Amino acid sequence: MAEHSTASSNEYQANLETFYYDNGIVKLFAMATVVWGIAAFLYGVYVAFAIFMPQLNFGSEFLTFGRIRPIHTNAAIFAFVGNGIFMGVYYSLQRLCKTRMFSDMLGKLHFWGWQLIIASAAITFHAGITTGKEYAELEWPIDILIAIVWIIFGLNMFMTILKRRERHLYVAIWFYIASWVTITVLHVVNSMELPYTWLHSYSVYAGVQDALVQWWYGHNAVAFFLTTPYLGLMYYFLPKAANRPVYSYKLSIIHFWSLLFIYIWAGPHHLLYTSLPDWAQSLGTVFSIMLIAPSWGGMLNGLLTLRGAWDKVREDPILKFMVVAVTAYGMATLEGPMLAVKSINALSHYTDWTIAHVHVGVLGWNGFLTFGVLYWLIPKLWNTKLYSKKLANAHFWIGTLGILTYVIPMYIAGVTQGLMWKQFTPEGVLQYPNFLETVTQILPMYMIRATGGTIYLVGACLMVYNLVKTAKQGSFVKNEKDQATPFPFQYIKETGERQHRWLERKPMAMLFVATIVIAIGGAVEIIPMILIKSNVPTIASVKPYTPLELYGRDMYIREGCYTCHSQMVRPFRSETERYREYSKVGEFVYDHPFQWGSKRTGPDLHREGGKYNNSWHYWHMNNPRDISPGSIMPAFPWLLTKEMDIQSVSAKIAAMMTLGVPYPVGYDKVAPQDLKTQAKLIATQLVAEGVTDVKESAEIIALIAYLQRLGTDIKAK
Amino acid sequence: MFKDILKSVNGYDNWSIISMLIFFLFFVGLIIYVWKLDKNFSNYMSSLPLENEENSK
Ligand code: HEC
Repeated sequence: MAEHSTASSNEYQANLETFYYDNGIVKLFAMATVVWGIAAFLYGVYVAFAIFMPQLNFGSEFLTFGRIRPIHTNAAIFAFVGNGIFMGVYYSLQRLCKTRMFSDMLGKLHFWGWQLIIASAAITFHAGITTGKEYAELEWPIDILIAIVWIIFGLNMFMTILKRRERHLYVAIWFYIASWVTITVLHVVNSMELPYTWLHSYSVYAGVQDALVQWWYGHNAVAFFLTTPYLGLMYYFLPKAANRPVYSYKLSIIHFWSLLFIYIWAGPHHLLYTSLPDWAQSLGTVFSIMLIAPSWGGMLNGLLTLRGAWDKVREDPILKFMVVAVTAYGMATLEGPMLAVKSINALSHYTDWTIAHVHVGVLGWNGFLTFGVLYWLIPKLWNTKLYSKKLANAHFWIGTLGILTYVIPMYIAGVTQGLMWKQFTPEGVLQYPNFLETVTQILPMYMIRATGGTIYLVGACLMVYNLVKTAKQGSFVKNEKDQATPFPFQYIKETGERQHRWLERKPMAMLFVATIVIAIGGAVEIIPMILIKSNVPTIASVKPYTPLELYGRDMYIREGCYTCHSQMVRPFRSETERYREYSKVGEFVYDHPFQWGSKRTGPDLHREGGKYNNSWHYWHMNNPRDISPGSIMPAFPWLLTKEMDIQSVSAKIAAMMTLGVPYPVGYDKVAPQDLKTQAKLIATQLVAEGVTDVKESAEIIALIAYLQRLGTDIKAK
Repeated sequence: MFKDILKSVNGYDNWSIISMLIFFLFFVGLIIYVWKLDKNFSNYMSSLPLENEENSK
């Protein structure tokens, strides 16, 4: 008996291999996470103030709200959380696979490529170079760069998995694999755009189809960028930090597959009551509600991992951060499906309720989990103890206070404004017909929110100090030693082995099955819309934009007007009273990209055409407060002086023709002339209305032309 | 107007029913599988992230 055991342990020793984990790459991503995290919060605080103090852009086009908000959202998602994902993956994957990453070189390429993407995003957004599709605003050259870097990451990840010494793939790794696959698909499908200059392009989809693809993307970007990779991190780092195994492995299997399966179907819930077909809306709602089950399964699995360790939670700031993160995940995933219920959505949509919802997710779930992981990881990487547990605890409380101070006023603002929009007097007319009244009402909430954001930022700065001090007192372990026996190449199938275990051993099969699963969901949603052209009834009176209007439309996208204005009147009496005729699918067939928007900080603009005369818009754009006292819309004075780039017009029209917009053959050649003719007409009208110093070639002319065209195609009946 | 759209999608109502059905079957399959999962194996898997003496097998 004794002899036998020595023999086998000798054999075991003989096979034992020594190898080193690469901590260098983890350190790089950790530092990027911290740096971009602070940047994302700073931009957030800045827009939070700028929204009620429009003069904060100092009259500079580069700082205008519509351009800064996308920087904030993209920085939070792709720079902060993105680097957070990579930090966690590069650390945990090596340990779970008992091997060093496949290639240090690929890791470096991945890292610097990703930072390059972030830097170019910041520059192009400030410059107003954007596709105008939320969370996919980056222009085509950067989209290509993203694809390349993403593939480098994928390659490094899969090769690492293939050379692993641990036969079985832990649940965290499935989440990584599924996230990678899905993001690849989403990015490719939603970024289909036709370039017309080296920095500009039009979405190949138009109107309702573009909206559907965009929100299928937008929803799943939340799911597969902000959620599933972070669930992978949760399944690794929470057990690590608590030093106890995950509560139920079985539950994690259900969590994984049902999330993967359901998430992708639920995208249309962003478009309830819009011109999207009913069946797609209903499907979105049903699947959104079903999402609660796996999400809560996951949350409970996380929380129950700490069963019997709650005394530890009270002590340890890392666990505290993680507990709140997981709870925020549960809250957000309960609220999300609720917001997908049509009657609730009717109230919540376009209001700050949505903003509150996403910040529970990003500040609570992503932010706090990242903080927890950082506090755990940095001492490990530098082989020391956390510099100050007290400071970390302070950060925890400050951060929590920040979240509450942010989220609560936003809920109040959202519900208040939503109700005001819908409020009728007993006589049956809108009680607040002036949109601005519903804005000034909630300004105090905006101020409190900005304070909340600032508090959160202060907490994060404490963390930076604490982490830097921690690193300073330790010494960085660039290569960490470990030992493991490789598993035999030939696998002897155990009796009674079942399907899933087979999947766990075969990463490529896992990749394949995961792809199929999300492809089914995607197909169910997308195919009927894309393939069946007759889905969008054409309206004979809807005509393509004139070159001048198209130019104005591109300015609307450039200045980010869509961040505050929707172009989608829903079929409610409260909306048709306020904005007139509700929007029809057929009105958007030439909109590459669609501009339905998702937030009404200002009123809907779909029926703006003909509402005011040209000079009203002229002065309003110059300074909204001259026309609408108390308005919080930023001023756009540069539009009055900036010259139109008439050279680009032919290329714009030609691109539209390629996309199937029915301009007459050869129209791209005459378009610049047509543009000038129409501009002259508008300039003459402006002069007649008493505006002096009008330049025929000023960009404002194009924007006015576009605003005056909006929604007029079917009004003239 | 919605009626027109609905009519133009061939069998749109089957479309949603089929998708529910696919999901339902998938889910039932999943539950059955997990139900029957070997206990030792799931214990082994859940302790993977923790530092364990016994290396991979
Ligand atoms: C920070 C949010 C914000 C941004 C960005 C913004 N607006 Fe506004 N907009 C408002 C608010 C609030 C109002 C309502 C008060 C007013 O009339 O100024 C408004 C009103 C308007 C109106 C008048 C609507 C009506 O029917 O009374 C027009 C037209 C308009 N905006 C156009 C634009 C254009 C074009 C852009 C982009 C160049 C833009 N807005 C960017 C917030 C914004």
